[in-house]
Amino acid sequence: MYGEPEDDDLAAEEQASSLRAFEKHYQSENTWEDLVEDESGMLRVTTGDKGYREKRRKIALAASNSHVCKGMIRFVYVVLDLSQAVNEEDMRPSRLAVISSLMYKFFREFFNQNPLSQLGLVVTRNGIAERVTELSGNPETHIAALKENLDAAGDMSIQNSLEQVHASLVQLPMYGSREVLFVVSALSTCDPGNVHTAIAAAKNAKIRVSVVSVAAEMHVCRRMTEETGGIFGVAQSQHHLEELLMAHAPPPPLNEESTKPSLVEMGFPQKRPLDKDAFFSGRGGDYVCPRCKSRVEELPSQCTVCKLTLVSSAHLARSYHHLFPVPPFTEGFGLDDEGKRHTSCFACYVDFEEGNESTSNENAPSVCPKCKKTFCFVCDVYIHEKLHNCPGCELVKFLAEEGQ
Amino acid sequence: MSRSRCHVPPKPLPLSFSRGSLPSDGSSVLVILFETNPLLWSGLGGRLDGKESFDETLRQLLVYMIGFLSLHEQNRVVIIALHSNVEHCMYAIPTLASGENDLTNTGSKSDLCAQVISNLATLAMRMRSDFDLSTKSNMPLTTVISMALCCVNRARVYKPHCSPRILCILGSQDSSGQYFSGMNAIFSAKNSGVRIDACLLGYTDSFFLQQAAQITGGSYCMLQQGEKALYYLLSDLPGSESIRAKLQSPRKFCSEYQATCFCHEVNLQVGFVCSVCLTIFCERCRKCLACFADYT
Repeated sequence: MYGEPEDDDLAAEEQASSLRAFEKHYQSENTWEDLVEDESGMLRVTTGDKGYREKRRKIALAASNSHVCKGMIRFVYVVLDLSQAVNEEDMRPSRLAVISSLMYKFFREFFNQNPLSQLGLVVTRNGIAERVTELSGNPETHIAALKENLDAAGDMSIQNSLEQVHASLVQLPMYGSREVLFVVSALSTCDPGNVHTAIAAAKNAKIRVSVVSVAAEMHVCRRMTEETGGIFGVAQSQHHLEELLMAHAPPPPLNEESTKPSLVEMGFPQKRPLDKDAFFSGRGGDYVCPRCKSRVEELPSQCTVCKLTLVSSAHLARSYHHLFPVPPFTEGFGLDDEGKRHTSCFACYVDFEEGNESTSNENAPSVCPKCKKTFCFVCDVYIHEKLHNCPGCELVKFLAEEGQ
Repeated sequence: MSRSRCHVPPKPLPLSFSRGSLPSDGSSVLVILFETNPLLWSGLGGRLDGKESFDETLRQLLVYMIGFLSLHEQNRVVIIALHSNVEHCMYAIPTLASGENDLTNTGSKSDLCAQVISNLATLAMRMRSDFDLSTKSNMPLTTVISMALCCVNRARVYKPHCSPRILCILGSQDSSGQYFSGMNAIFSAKNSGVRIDACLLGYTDSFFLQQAAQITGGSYCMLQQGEKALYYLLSDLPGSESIRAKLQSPRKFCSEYQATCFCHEVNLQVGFVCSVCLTIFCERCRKCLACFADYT
């Protein structure tokens, strides 16, 4: 009944429905944000566009949290509400279609950002909760499982869902942060007993419960997140829903009380492909578990025989940028050795326009506080959001190493 | 389902791209990282045996570039000279900045070659002043790959439908200090859908570039005879994505995901990882030596 919507289709829908025409009008009316005070105290109108300020704000926000210790190893259950309420059509074509396609995106992004973490999926409908996938490390298995389980019916049950995930999470070692993410559409919950005892149990087990609601705020959801230290959010539009969901992809601040640092035994398997004509029965795969020598198909994963966590050092390297983020760049020009302004971006070599210091366009310059190189805004955003490497700082580091 | 978008107002161009899932229009952007280290090309570093001449390799590279530009009128090339001190030797042919630079007629192509050569001459002049034989044979590869990725991102702002590619032609050794940031750059390349091809000069494998090519789905080959550089470039690294999908490129990967412990720098297969800072240790200890987390 609810086919997977085409990406293109969704994008167009989103564009159309994220803001109504009259809202758009007022959106751009935030004229006070266009005013900037310059060095001499004069007010100056910048022709700044919203995207620019939004991105600057995001980078600054990410940077302000950068000194906080992050929970790098996470065990997350996603509880998806598949009650009758997801058939509502306030989002086009329906809530279910929108949520499911965002979930696919979320799974991929989650494992992209947290290669060492594990995720499981629980769906709740007809008043019960059903564990669709166990905690595991491959986004594609979750996506496949969710695609097969997209029929919605009955009511959501928060208590049953919490008890279901509690039973699984409570057995896990204490070094990982235990999290639950509810994606809720319903405005009621159908529980067999007192939902607050389940919330208290989750709190005792140090489970952090977060809720993203598609419809409206429910007291019990708000209460649940407040008790357990999670985040609560209500989506105003499809675009906002995506933002709320994706905010759960980067690792959260480490809760010192609920997690205990420890050494985790991990294997770094070697790739040993089988010969083409080798006779082999059982589970195949190119990687060999260093402890029990059984074969594993991909990394990161868990050995199916001895349960050793198998990663590659590349995955560890991929997680480091959360621990050592690139500092936010400050607006303005950097100076070269002779005290002249840099005329072009250090990374992409686009020329800055002469005499143009306005913060509006994509060539607005900014300076890395560490290496003092100048970057254009396009590179600034790319470096902070995607690359997580400052080319200038890398060069400084390299030259320092070489000099020794 | 395709839909006519005539009525939709033009969408502002995104400033960075998350995945390489955009449909390609057949054009591509090629960023070439070409090592110009005098120590390598003079044979003093002991990596090349002197048979490869810099002029000849460069000449063949230029032919390859022109061939690449001829494949599609929207194709663009950026060349970055990879040098021990990258600060003053980046050569971006400014085809990206203007976005609409026309390189289709032959006149501009010879201009392109002339520009590359004159830029190299400037570099040679600069080098003469501060060249000494103690120049290290290591290259700031991470910096240059990061810059190349920024160039690709910039190119995509203008041309969102191009398929990007980075071609590394170098002969220097990996330096271990760049491992983490280098891996980070490689994964960013993978997530942005950028393919990294590696062409090694000389006889020694680069472990880092092997991983780069493997993770991003690129090719990895060795140019053992500089005279035949063009042959290798054309046969192993065909310019067009559609051709590449049909050909089986001679891939030679021996990816050993070696992990080294922080405490004794020993290669290990089973290790202990600190859950806070992800440092690898070869034996259990009470306190993390890197982040001082207490395990007791």
